[in-house]
This record gives sequence, C-alpha cells and structure tokens, in this order.
Amino acid sequence: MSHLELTGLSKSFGTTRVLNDVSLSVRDGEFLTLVGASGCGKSTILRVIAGLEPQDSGSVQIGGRSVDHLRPKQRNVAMVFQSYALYPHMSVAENMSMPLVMQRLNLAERLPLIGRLSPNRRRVMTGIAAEVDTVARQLQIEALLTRKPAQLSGGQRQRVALGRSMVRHPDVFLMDEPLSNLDAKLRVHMRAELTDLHRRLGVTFIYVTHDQVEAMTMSDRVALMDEGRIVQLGTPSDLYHNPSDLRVARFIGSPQINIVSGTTTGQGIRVGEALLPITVSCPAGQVVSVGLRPEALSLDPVAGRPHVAARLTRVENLGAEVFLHFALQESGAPLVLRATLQDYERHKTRLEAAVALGVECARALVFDGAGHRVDHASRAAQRVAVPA
Amino acid sequence: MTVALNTARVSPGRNAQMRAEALAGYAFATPALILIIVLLIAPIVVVFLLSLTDYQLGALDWSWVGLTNYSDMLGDRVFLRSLGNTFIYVAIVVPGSVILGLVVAILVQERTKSKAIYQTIFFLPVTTTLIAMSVVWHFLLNPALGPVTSLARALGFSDFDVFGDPDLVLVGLAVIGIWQLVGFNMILFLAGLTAIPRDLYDAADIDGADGAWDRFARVTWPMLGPTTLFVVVTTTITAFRVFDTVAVITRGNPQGRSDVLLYTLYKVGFQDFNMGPASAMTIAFLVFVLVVALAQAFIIDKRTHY
Repeated sequence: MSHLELTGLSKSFGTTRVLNDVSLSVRDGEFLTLVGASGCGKSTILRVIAGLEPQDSGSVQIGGRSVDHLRPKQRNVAMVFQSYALYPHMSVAENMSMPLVMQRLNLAERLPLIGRLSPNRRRVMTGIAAEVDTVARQLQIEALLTRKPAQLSGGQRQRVALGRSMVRHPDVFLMDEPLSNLDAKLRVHMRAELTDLHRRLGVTFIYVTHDQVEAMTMSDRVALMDEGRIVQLGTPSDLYHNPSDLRVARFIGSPQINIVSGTTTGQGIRVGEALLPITVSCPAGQVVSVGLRPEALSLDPVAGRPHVAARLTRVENLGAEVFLHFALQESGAPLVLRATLQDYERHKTRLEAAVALGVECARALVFDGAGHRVDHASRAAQRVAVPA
Repeated sequence: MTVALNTARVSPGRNAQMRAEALAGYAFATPALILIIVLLIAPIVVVFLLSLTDYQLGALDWSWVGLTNYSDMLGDRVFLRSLGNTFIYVAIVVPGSVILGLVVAILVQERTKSKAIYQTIFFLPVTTTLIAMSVVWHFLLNPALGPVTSLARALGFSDFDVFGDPDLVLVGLAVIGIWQLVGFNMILFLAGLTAIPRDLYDAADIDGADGAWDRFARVTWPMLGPTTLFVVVTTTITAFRVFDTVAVITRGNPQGRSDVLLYTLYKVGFQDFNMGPASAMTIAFLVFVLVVALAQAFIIDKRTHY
C-alpha cells in the first residue's frame, strides 16, 4: 500500500517561508495534482517527499511508515523532472538501467573494469536488460535503447525519463512539470498517455504543474497552492464550480472567471445599475466580488431575469464556440461570455450597440472582501445539480 | 513557364548580389588574415627556412645546408636528453596539476562563504612571475638555509638537495610547475562544475547514486569531459614550454639532468648563436605542440561531447 500522508510540513529558505504548515493525504493509486503559480511551493513539496530537501518541521509518511529519516533511494519514490535530467553520456538503456544497477550491484561490481570480473554482475545485468526491455516496449521506445539523449526529440526524452522511473516499480511517482518543455500539440498527446499510464500502473501519482488545464484534465484531485499553503483541495469539478477562495476561482478555468465588484443591499447585490437578486449572509453595504464563469452569462436576457448592460469589444472565434469580450457599461470592467457559434450569429447585428447580458444568478460565486467564498441561497440549490 | 521565366529574370541580379556579398565578406576578413600571416605564419616559415641554413647570429654570410641540422639534431645526445627530460617533466606535471586542480575545484565549490577566499589563494601562483617565484622556491628548498629542508631535518629525514640530486631535480621542477598550474586548472574546472545541471544530481540521488564516489563517477566526471580535455591540452602545452624555472634555478644541472627542450634551444641559439640548429629544434617543438592540439581536435573531442 502506498498511501501518502503529509503532516504539518514547513520549510523556509533563509527568511522566505516556502511551505507553511502543509498537510495532505493522498490515497493509494490516486492521481493528485499540485497546481499554482510559480513560487507557490508546489515543487518544494515534491522535493520534500522525494527526500531531496529536508523539511524544517512536519513529517512525510509513505504506506503508513515515516520516511523522514530515509534517503531518497530508500523511499522508493521515482521522480520525473521538467528537464528530464537524463544522463547525457549514457545511452537510453543505460539511463533506464541506472536505478536497478545501483540497487542490485555492490560498489565493487559497479567499478568500470574490475566489476566485470564478478560472475554475479553478468547475471544481474542480463536480468536488468530484460526488465528495461519490457518497460521500453510499454513506452514504445525499444528502438531507441542504444541512442544517446542528445539524439532524441523532446517527447522521446520524456518517455525515457518515464521509463527510468518505471523500471524500479516505485510506490509513488513524483512528476515535476514533466510536460512544460514540450510543444503544445505533444503536450496534449502526452497528457492522455500519462493518464493512461496511471490507470495501467495503478500507482500513486503526485503531479506538479502551473497549467490549470493539465490539472483539470488529468487528476483525480487537485490541490491549489498559494504562498506555501494549500488553498483548496478537491476534485477538478469542485475547484471549478465550487471554489472556496477568490484565488482558486481566478486560477481555474479558461477563459478566466469574470470578477465584478458589487455592494450588498437588503434585496441582493448591486452591480452598477443592475441589482442581482442574490441574498448573502453579509450585512448590507459591504463590497463583495461576484464571480461569473463565462457560461453563466447569456446573450438572451429572459424577461424578469437580472441582466447587466455591456458593450462588445472583441470576438475570439474558436470554431464551435465563441468567446465574446465585453466591457461593462458603467465601470468598463471586462466580461467574457461563452456562446455557441449559432447564438453569436443570431445576435450579431444586435451586438453592434450596447446590449443587456443575462446573468444566471444561481451560478454566481460571491466572495467577501478577504476573498473567502460567501454562500447564498440560490447557489445552494444549484450545487446539487452540479455533476461530481 | 512563368516560374522558369521568373527565375531566369531574377538569377542574374541575384548572382551579382551574391558576388558583392562574397566580396564584402573577403574584405572584412582581410585585416585579420593579414595579421595572421604576418604574426603567425610568416615567422614559422622564416624559422623553417633558417633551419635549413648554417646561419649564425650576427654573421654576414650563410649557406643552405639542407636537412643537415635535422639529422644532426636527431644524433645529438644533448637534444635527445633534453627531449626525454621534457617528456618526464610533462608526464609528472600534467596528471599532477589536472588531478589536483580537479580535487581543489570540487572542494572549493562545496564551500559557500569561504569560496572566494580559497579561489583567490589557489589562483595567486598563476598571477605571480615564475622567474621571481623560482628564486623563492630555490631558497625554500636550499639544502643549507631552506625552511623546507630544515623542517625535513627536524622531522628526522636525512638531508636532501632537490636541485642538486640528479634523481630529484626534475621532480622538484615539476612540483613548482604543478604549484603554478593548479590554480588555473581549478578555475577552469570550477567553470565546468557550475555548468552541470543540479537536476542530474537530484536524479542520481533518487536513482541511488548518492554516495560521494557514485556522484563523482556517474555525474561529475562524465559531465566534466569537455573541460578535462581542454585542461589536459592546455596544461600539456604549458608544461612542454617549461623554461623559466630551469633557467633561474638549475641551468640544466646537475649533469644535464634538468636540460629541457626550450632551455637547450635557448643555449644553442642565444649562447652559441647557432640559429640553424636552434631553428630545427623550434620546428620539432612546434610539431609536438601541433600533435597535441590535433589529438584534441580529432580524436578525443568526439568522445567527450554528448
């Protein structure tokens, strides 16, 4: 079992606090993603789990036993680096054999010339070669085994790095932005391959990325980090539909969530001239942020439903759907609306002047001055309807 | 058809433009080319021509002697002895200063606060004048007055005279050579060490290569390949040119056991004024240096770059 438990991890570099009391529990076989802007501490968590960086306080448990006192190789974790960190002077096969060679041969047997005298060495090396072959076949790189890393493309290097981590059958795979050095097309492809690999291996994956799309598309659960803390931990759908913090709402989702500021009144929230009938628990007269996903806005304002006045500024046509960029009539604040191409074509002529955009209040997310989520009545009903 | 017409119409203009560009290129390269010819090629040609004559420095007449100087040189015991001594000297200095330079670089790199101080200390010998330092070393190792010999005596060793002992003299000179070169090699190795990506050490840690030896053998040493090659070549050439210490301290003594190539060349050319034989030796010297440089360029270079 490779259930992973982090308790109260803290870490500072000099006076900079990189991790601030991070606790996290990862189930056996789970694909968990740590996502956040650069410098939020996500890579440091990975390095602490791997044992490359000692934590100042807190503890790491893998499979129920504490690994704090263990060296990286004894923790039975594998790591894939953003730079792949392949040994440039070794062939693909040698790169992939490395963890097994270090495990199974003693110091004398590893020596360049003297090692060959050992009868054990030949036997072990044959075994390793067979295992490397099996993994290489799984990753479809068996034809590359004799090449050097410099002769490989980015995607191939990525596979070799994966292969090197797979040969040792680790309890936990740690991946530090493994796709960010690939071009956009290959990245999408490797995303699918990685999730597929995760399913086949059934091993715990801890994946670090700054790309929210990767986090959303690959993970079982996502932990969004900021300033050394986990802001929210949940399923991708949770983070999108039900963010607990303004930072989460802003980070997750593309195009970004629309944030308009409003003031609470007895009847709802006033945004400019419009009154959105959202009743929150805050006292009246407080400034709040209203988050509206691009799909919570519509071009057809239903009579009686709340709407805001805005003017079209830019159109992004993606083929099947269209992102329409508006500026709010009173404040000029930007709004993005997600529409189907048909909807856009239907309203095209009307959009030349200022228009009223329908607001689906049930999907509005309200945040108080400190950025914390404030629940509201119409929202609570909506939450049930959100698919998990 | 249109395409063919177009190319036909375009090509004369393009040809003219290419010619103009080529001409401009040569024009830009000319000053450098002239300098190379005047400063490097011409002197070598002159030396080679001199080596075919019996020219004596200051003499008014001279004659061609063909390859006599070369055949004399190959039969000359002093020349062969100094060549042998030079090789022994190189064979001690190169491994000594390269290995020490690497060890010092690795040790210095792991320091954080004191790094700059150590770097400066080890680099100091490089900045000094070897002639002046030779005098200091001569004194340090003086059998009667030198602090090193006094210390050895105090520790119970028997008396020794480094520069007077035929078996020790080359070793003594080599130690000075190493002392002077270690700092320079250290700087080169430090540059090489800084260029090794940290990720590789992290990967090695996770793969289980986390002992000092494994980290060195699996990451540091292979990654330093190009640097090491460069250091070996520059050190070999520098060591081959040993002259200052011999000229100041031993003058080739005792019994010619510290005669080295450049010192013999100097004696023949500027004490005996025999420019012909001296030029022949210079050509021999150039050939050795050239061989080392070519070995780098063609054989080893391919095997250390990944």
